[in-house]
Amino acid sequence: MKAYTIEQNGAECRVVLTGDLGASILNELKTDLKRQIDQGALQVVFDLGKTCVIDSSGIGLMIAAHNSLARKQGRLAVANASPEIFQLLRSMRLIERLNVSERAV
Amino acid sequence: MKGSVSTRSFRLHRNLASRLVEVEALCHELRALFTPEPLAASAFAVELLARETLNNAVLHGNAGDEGKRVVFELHCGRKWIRLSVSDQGPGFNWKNRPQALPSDIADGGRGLPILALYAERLQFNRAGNRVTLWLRRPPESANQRPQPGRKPAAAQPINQLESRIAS
Repeated sequence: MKAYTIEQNGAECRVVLTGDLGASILNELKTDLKRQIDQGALQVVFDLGKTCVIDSSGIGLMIAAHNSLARKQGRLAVANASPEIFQLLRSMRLIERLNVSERAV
Repeated sequence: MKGSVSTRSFRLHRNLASRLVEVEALCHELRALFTPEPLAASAFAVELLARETLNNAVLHGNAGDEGKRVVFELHCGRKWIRLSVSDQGPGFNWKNRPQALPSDIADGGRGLPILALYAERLQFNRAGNRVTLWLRRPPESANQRPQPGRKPAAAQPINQLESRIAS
């Protein structure tokens, strides 16, 4: 089973993680995301509703995607972050940069 | 059995091949181990620290050489949790690596800052191919699931350390 699905709707792209966002899925997800952005995706949302942990490589992937989108006046957002992931991203000072919203309790 | 878990000290020792799939399996084992109360308040920090150090050992320390091994040791005591990860690479000059946060548009450089944020103490051996981390095991009274409007117990020490890194 793939660790994520990508739902595309025009220029919008939603990456729904079915598990954790870390080094083990990095290369595959990076390739898929690059393809989406190259094909015109301008709004990318990472849905972390089922994600327990992200690590520094996962954070780096989201920053790289953010940078690619910013060059095209696009936007990245992170939705449904758990309280622990929200706190981690806040400690990294990335809440505003990555437009992070917390999972509803 | 809740009472016996709360006061129990235990150890875990694993010898892994340098493969991310083995890191993933060990992290899931840790998650299962730390999910029950009263260890749950430490679960996120333990798994995050384990992931960061194991990924580093596999990808950087052993440079992806599957013939080299990574040794993981965990000791969960009554007051402290200690993790240790060593690899068979040449090590790195950890004294020259910044623990401060990188620019918020940098897509790398957050591994060590995360270790410094979530571990109360961080120690490398001289060669730089073995790292040991300590985190305080929360008192049992602090072991509560996050509730609406309340930050989880495990987030509290991070806030304290955040100001240290920011200064």
